[in-house]
Formats: sequence, C-alpha cells, structure tokens
Amino acid sequence: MVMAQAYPFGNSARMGPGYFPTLISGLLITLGVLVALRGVVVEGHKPGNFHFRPLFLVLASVVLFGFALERLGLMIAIFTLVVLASLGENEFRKREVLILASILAMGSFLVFIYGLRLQIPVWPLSY
Amino acid sequence: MDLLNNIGLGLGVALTPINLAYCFIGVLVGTLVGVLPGLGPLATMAMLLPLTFNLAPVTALIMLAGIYYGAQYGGSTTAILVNLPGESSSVVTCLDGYQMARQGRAGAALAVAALGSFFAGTFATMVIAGFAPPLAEVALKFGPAAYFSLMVLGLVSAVILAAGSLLKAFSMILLGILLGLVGTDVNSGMARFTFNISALSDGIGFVIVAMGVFGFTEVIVNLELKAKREILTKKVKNLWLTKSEFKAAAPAVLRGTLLGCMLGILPGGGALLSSFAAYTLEKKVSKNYAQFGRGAIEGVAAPESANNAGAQTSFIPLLTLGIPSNPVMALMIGAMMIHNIQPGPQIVINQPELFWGMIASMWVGNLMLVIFNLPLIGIWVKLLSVPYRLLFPSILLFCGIGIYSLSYNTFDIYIAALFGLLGYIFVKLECEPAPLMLGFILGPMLEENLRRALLLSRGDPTIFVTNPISAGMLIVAAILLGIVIVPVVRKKREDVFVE
Amino acid sequence: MIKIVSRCLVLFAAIAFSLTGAFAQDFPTQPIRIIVPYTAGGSSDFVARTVGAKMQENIGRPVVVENRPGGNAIIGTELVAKARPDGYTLLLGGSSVLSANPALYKNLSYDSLRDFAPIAKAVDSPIVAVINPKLPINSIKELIAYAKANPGKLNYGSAGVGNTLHLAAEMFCMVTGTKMTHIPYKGASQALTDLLGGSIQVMFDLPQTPMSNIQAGRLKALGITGGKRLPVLPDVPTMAEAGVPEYSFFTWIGFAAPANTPPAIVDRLNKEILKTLSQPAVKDSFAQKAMVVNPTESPEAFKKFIKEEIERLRKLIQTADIKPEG
Repeated sequence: MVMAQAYPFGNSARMGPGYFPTLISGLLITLGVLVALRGVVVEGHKPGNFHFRPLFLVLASVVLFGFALERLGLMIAIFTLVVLASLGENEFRKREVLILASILAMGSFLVFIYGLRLQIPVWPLSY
Repeated sequence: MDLLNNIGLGLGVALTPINLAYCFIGVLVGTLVGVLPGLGPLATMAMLLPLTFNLAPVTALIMLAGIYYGAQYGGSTTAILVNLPGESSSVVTCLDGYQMARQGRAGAALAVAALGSFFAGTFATMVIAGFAPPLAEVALKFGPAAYFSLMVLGLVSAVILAAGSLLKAFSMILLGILLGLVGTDVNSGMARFTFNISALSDGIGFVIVAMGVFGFTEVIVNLELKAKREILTKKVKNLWLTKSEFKAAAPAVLRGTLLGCMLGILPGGGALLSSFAAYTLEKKVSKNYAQFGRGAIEGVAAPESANNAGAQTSFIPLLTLGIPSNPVMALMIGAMMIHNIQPGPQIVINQPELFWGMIASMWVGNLMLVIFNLPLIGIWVKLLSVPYRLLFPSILLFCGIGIYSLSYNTFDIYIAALFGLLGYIFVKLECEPAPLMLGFILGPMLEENLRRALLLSRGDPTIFVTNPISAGMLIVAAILLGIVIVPVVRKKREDVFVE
Repeated sequence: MIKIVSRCLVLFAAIAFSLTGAFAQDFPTQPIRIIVPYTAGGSSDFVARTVGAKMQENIGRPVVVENRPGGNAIIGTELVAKARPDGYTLLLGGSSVLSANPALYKNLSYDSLRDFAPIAKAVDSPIVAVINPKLPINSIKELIAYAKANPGKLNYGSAGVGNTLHLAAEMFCMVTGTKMTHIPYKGASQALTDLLGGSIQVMFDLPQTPMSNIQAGRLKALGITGGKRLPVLPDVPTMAEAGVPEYSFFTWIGFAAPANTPPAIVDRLNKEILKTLSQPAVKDSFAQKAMVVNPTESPEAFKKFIKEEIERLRKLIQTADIKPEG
C-alpha cells in the first residue's frame, strides 16, 4: 500500500447547488483519510521518486507555449515549446532540436493554418 | 421486403459517384482530425459547413457524417500508439491499447480496433435501418429518474474499471465527480467553483483533462524511464492478429457492439459512455480478467466497437425525432436547416432518399475506413520507431494546438498542463486516471438528473423505485456493487483468520 | 486674402467630407468576421451564415462566420466588445445577449448599450406554446384553466435559468395569473426530449425546435405570439385569437459592431444587411424556420429598441424573481 494523500476539497459550498459538492467532498475526505490510514498501518513501498527535471520542463514548455501563442504567434511559440521540451531529454543536440522545430513549424503552418484554416495568430501582433 | 427495397433505394443514392467522393473526403478528413489530439469532429464539421452550401443536401450530410465516424477511427490510432486519446471516446482504448503497443503488439491493436469498428458500424447501420423508430420510442421513455439510475450503474461499473486498489479507485471517482461539477449549475444558474474566470463557466472540458492526464503525464513519465523505454519499442511483432487473439476478441466485439447500440440511442449517451461501459462489461465477463490494463486485446476490441456503434446509433434520435443527442448531431440539424430540410419524424416519409441514402452511406463509409486504415497500420507502427526525443515535442505541440483550437483560449492549455501535473502525482501514488475520467463525465449528469427527478416529483424520493426502468438499473447496480465488494470483504476476513 | 482662406477652408472641408465618405466607400478591404456566440447549427448561426453569404456576393469580399460559444454566449460577445472598432469584426447578437443578459446579471462583463454600436435588427421569432398531447388540453384557455385549477402542478421546460424560454414562460404566467413549475435543462433539445417523453408537460419555445414534432402530431401547439399566424404552422392560432392578447413575447436576432465604430461604416453595414434581408429568397428561407424578417430602419432605431427591451425584461425579471448568480 502506498502512502496516499487525502484530498481535502472542502470548498465553500453554497446551499442548494452546494448540496452535492459538499456531499461528495465529504465522502472524498473520509476516503482519503482511510487510504492514508491504510498506508500507515499496512506495510508497503514508498511512492516512486519524483523526477523534477522532466516534469518541470515539459509543463513549463507547454505553459509557455500557451503564453506565447496569442502574444507572439504560432511560429515563435513552436520554437519555444520544442527547445524547452527537448531540454527535458537527457541528450540535447542543438542542431537537431532546431531542425525539428523548423519542420514542425512549417508543417503546422501548412496543416493547421493553410489547410484547416484555424484562427491561430502566426506572427507577433498579427491580432 | 420493404426493408430491402429501402436499402436498395439507399444504396442507389449512396453509390453515386459524387456521393461516394464526398463520403471519402468526409471519412478521410475525419480520420485525420481524429488522429490529431484536441481538434474534434465538431470543430471540423463547423469549419467545413460553408463548403456544403453548394452541395446537394444528401451529399452534404453524407460528408459531415463521414467526418464524425471517421474521427472515431482516427482517435483510436493515437490512443494505441502514444497513449493520447485523439477523441474523447478513445480514452478507454488508451488503457490496454497503449500497453499492447509497448509490448510490440501495436499492429494487432490497431487491426482489432479497425475490424471491430467495422463490424460495429455494419451492425449499427442495420439496426438503424430496421429498428430506428421503435428504438427512438425507447429512448423517450428515459426520464430523469431513469438517467440517474443509469449514472449510478455507470459509476459502480467504474469501480470495476480500476485494476488496483478499490479504495483508491473510489477516491478517484469522487475526485472526478468534484472536478466535473465545476461550471454553471443547471438547476439554479449559479456558477460553482469557477473563481470568477469566465472560461471556467462551462466547466472544464473533458478533452482538456484527458490531454493533461493521459498525454502530458505520459510524456513526462516516459522521459524519466528513458532506458527501459528503448527496449520496449524495439520488439515489434507481426502486424496482424494471431488466431488466439482473434478468438478472444470476437465475442468482445459482439458485446461491445450491442452495448454501444443500446447506449448510443440515449440522448447524452453516445460514443463516449458506450466505450467505458463496454470496457467494464468486458472486464467483468472475460476470463482474462487479470490482463486488463496490461494489454488484453478484449480491452481494445470492446470499447472500439462500442464507440463506433454508439456513434452511428446516436443518429437515430436525430433522424427519427429531430432531436440531437449530442452537439455533433445539433450541427447536423443546422446543416439540414441550411438546406431547408426539416429534421424529424417526417423525413422517413417525405424524403426517403435522404434517410436511406444516409444510412446506406454510413455503411459505405465504414467500408472505406477499414480499407483505408488497415494498410496504414504498417506506417503507423513505423512511426513508433522514431526516436522519442523527436517524437515527444511533436506530441506536446499537437496537444497544445489541438487544445487551443477547441475554444481559442490559451487558458485551456494551462489547465491541461495543471492536469499533467496532477496526472504525474497520480502515477506516483499509483492512482488510476480512468475512474477519474468516468466520474468526471458521469458526476454532473448524476447530480443534474437527481435534482431534476426530485424537482419533478416535488421532493419525493420514491420516484427512483416506482419508475420501472430506474428501479431495474438500481437493482443491477446493487448486484454489481455486491459482486465487487463481497470478494474483497471475504478476503479481508480470510486475512484476519490467517493472523 | 479672406477669399483665399475661405476657399481653402471650403476645399479642406470638401476633401475631409469626401474622405470620410470615401472611407466608407472603400470600407470592406479585408474579410469581415461575424462572431456567433453559439455553436454552429443553431438559428443564430443560420441567420449569420445566410446573411453573410449574400453580403459576400454583394460586396465582393469574404464574409466569414466564426463560432465562439461558451459562458451563456458571454464569451463571444465579450470578444466583439473588445475588438477593434474598424467594422471588420461584427457580433451576431440576439435578444438573449443584448437585452436579456444585461437585465439578468448584475456583474456582466459588457454593457450592451455602451460597448456596442448596434447596426440592424434582422429577424424576429415568435414563441409557440407547446404541450404534450397526452394532456386533456386543447387550447390556451383550457391551459390557463387547468393551470389555475392545479397551481404549480404543470412542469415547463427551458434551456436554462434566465434563458429566453424561461422568461417567455414566466411572462405568460405573469400575464395570465397562473403558476407553473420551472424545470431547467442544458439546452432546448434536452427539454424537448423530456416533453416528448412526458416528464414535463409544457414548453414555451421558438417554433423551429419542436416544429417537425408539431407537424407530426407528437406535440400540440396551442398558440403563437405575434399578430399573424405563421405560414409554416397555419393551424396554430395567435395568442390574441386564443384569448390572451396581452401576452406578447419575441426573440430577435441582429448585428452589432464594437462601440466607436465610425458611423459611416455602421451605416454602410446597415445598408448591406438590409439589402440582403430584402431579397425574397432570404425572406423565404427564414420564414421556413419560423423567423420573420423585421429589420429596424436605422442603427439609432435599433439602439432605442434594445434599450426598451432591457427595461421590459428587467421588470419581468424582478416581478418573477429570477436570480441566476454569477
């Protein structure tokens, strides 16, 4: 059994519409406590190690992609994403990454902007 | 006799060169769209709607329908190959399909998905042809009380969905329900848990959560396990099903199809619910119980057939009653309106060529899809051997664009990233995401119908047992719950005895 | 000297005047976007696409419809409110967005009168009262009698709290002094399903949605608002004919631009829209969907209309005590 966390989602529930969420979160808290107790009482292995580097880089790259998308346009956002994400990989080959980013950028442009006509800003300030 | 005449009429319409051509375009676009994570058939159909203005009504509808069920086929491809549900209904396929891919049996998984879907599509088409009006009547009998009980049944079966600890599965379901409650409450109009962000007022999108928990998390986890990963993808066995796999999968396909047909008719049901239900049914029924979650071929065959069957039968309320059972159908109604067709009970009588033509072309479309997809399996599998360091940024990118294209809101991308983080935590804690997703979908419907049923009965809770359908569902749910809990309790007792 | 100056002034004025006129003449040099704050396939969408397509033919520039659904149509509306006021981004706004929402929500992120320059109203749609045929009711009068005899027993469905259908029903109750129980749904089709199934008994809906079921006899239409019977439903009496002339409720759909759009451009758009609406083919296709082409003559008239609607709905909402929060 694993040491688990309880999910104390005790949000400020409003009456009426709040009835159900309170019910559910109440149940959840109870269960969470049970699981935690179980983890403590029964012998088990520890949770896996957290590897922060890939976690952080992947998430950061996606978030920055989102951030850059509307302000800086698709092209720059793609480059940001690819470069940052590739840093999460242990072998970082600069040339390869840049080539990949360029191919993806061009490909995305063709498929999404030209082909499917999605309304995504391509260059900075084109909105 | 009449039925055969009608089918003949339908085929006559469906097999004209122009309709064939547009059917092909539709399924082709649909498959591509299904493969791309995020971008769904709804958005694509909306985008291509203007193109249909100058087409004959039947042709337009055939193309749009093709996009819809084509997307179901495409979605399974990414689900199997990279654990990314390209379509919301492919989430379940990820569970065993991806495991199969990791064991080198991606070809078999893709094959069974395609074949199962074809069988389901054919069967569903026949069902529509023969039984559409009576089935529609059945759908109407489902009032809020019945829906509520159906949801309860669904949630109980969600517990079965989990491969691990029962208690944790239950917690995940509850968590899923809570997350699903974010948004505007139907019965009072109030916004809950939205922290005043207007993007949240419609709730968190299912696709967004799925992207985060399945897609992003998987990428992160894979980056950690670098060494192990290389070994797994090297062993690609043959691209086809072995005889034993075929035998195992066949009954699964049948069960999935039947379930999908039944659930697809219900407004609000459709492909998504059917795939989850089929998976749990299969898991309970199969002798291969332990393999589920680790690459059981039935775990791919059942949901894939179910979601295709469900997608096709969800046309029934549309074609017979003029009521859309999901947003995609609502778009079809819009398309019909543009062509001055009134969807509803009159269509069968007033415009039989339209009705039967569409039905026949659904079968034709399924055929095209199978012919088209099977050879592609080889190409897809080759894709797996691309070095991961090149693959994963592409995955992230397509997810990102796909999510953005849903509502053109970068906020959604942030939410998906948040769920990526949550997904990672879940993996570390050995909690499974599948029950979470099911709770996420079913929870809000559960609550909505509960409150609505009580509103209609003016607070009388006996409505859930006096309504026959509702009572039936609850009984089955109770039995299922019993089946699940009793062994666990018994085992505990044994443990106690041993000590 | 003075002559030269005055001539220069006149010349200057002439140039300036013609420039603004010329500006309007050159106006559509780019594609025009019409934002529809609903998913594709609904009646608003239909209006946008029909008018847009005809406009495209007339002005020779692409007119593109974009669907931006969400947040009870607020998201798409906000988008246009904040867009550049150059006439290239327009809103397809209807009664719910421009007059009902302001009356319903205290903290709306836009103000219909302040943030928008109304261009033209396009169509009106009446409300039809439909019931499940299993009920022993055959006319509006019987409906009122039944409701009065059984207060609160009848259930009516709507597409959501504060939604047009909800307001229409509440107005009926207010005007006739009856009481029915409101059952909200997430959209008219869900409500319609339950109406067909019998869980709810009544709906006050736009004619388009239940139309085919009315024609097939699965639903009974008791009356329709407005002065004339609809050509597509010739057997349905108007509310006045049925004995409730005081009950009048319409939804409407129109076009608006962001505030501060140059008046010349607004006028140009107004003319183009009215031009498309006057074509018989357009009128017919709308009539088939139970929408009556009923444009306002000028942008100012439209603005006045919106203002009056907001007031009217505010009164209704206060009396009926409808309170969606958030």
